[in-house]
Amino acid sequence: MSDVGPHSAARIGASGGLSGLRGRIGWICHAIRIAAVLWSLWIVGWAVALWSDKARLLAGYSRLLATDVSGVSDASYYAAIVLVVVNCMLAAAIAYCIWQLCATYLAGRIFTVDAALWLRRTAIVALTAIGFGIFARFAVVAIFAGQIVLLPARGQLLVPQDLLHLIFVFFVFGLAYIFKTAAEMADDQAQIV
Amino acid sequence: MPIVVNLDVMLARRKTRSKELAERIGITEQNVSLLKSGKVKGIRFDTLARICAALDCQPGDVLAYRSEENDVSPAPRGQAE
Repeated sequence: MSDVGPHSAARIGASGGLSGLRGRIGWICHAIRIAAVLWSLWIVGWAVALWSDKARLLAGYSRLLATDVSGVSDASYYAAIVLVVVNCMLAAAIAYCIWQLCATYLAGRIFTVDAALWLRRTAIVALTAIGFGIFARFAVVAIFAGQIVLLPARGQLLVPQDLLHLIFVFFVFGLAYIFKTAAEMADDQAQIV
Repeated sequence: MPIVVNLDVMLARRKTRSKELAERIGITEQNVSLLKSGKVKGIRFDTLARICAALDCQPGDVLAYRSEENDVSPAPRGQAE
């Protein structure tokens, strides 16, 4: 029985077990990549469609706040748009991290520190996006209303799904840490001939 | 690292090449090179047993302990051969 030796993660990738795993998760990785790209494009497209019609957008916020915000200044409107643009950029960043993570898996570097780091980066960007998204909701309403509004007249700015998203993100954080530790332990083991 | 690998000494003594040893004990030539240079974190008993069988030697001929204070290490056995 031949041994595998130090720094041979690539060689490990050629073994039956791991190549079988790559085969099984290949379609999942491709699907996740496509879904991530489509989701980010959806976010951007939806933002463009919504914010390109100022009158309709402000009418919607007027209903949400039960007050007329149609007279909001252009400067305030563009300030709100900046927040939306940042939100879209964060969505694109999430899609990029997911793409890179799946690329790592597709290259066979599944149980590696590299893959764990991409998982952690994805969690960090997602956490940033969730936090910023929540902040932006309140900030846009405050810009249009001219004051901080915690509970609008109709609808909610904070929903239970926000907490669920946070739970999932922290779960991914935990997984990233576990995988990184496991990969480092595997690297250490690989240096025993 | 206080454990010193004297595999290169035993290979020279037995007039065996790294490649040949690698084939006989079933590990890669690269791993034999890393083992010779001491760039490994450990060696399995199974691998050590196969090396000793292939080179007709004892573990003490392949491995030596050299403490950091005392630079003198025990000479490999069979030096008189």
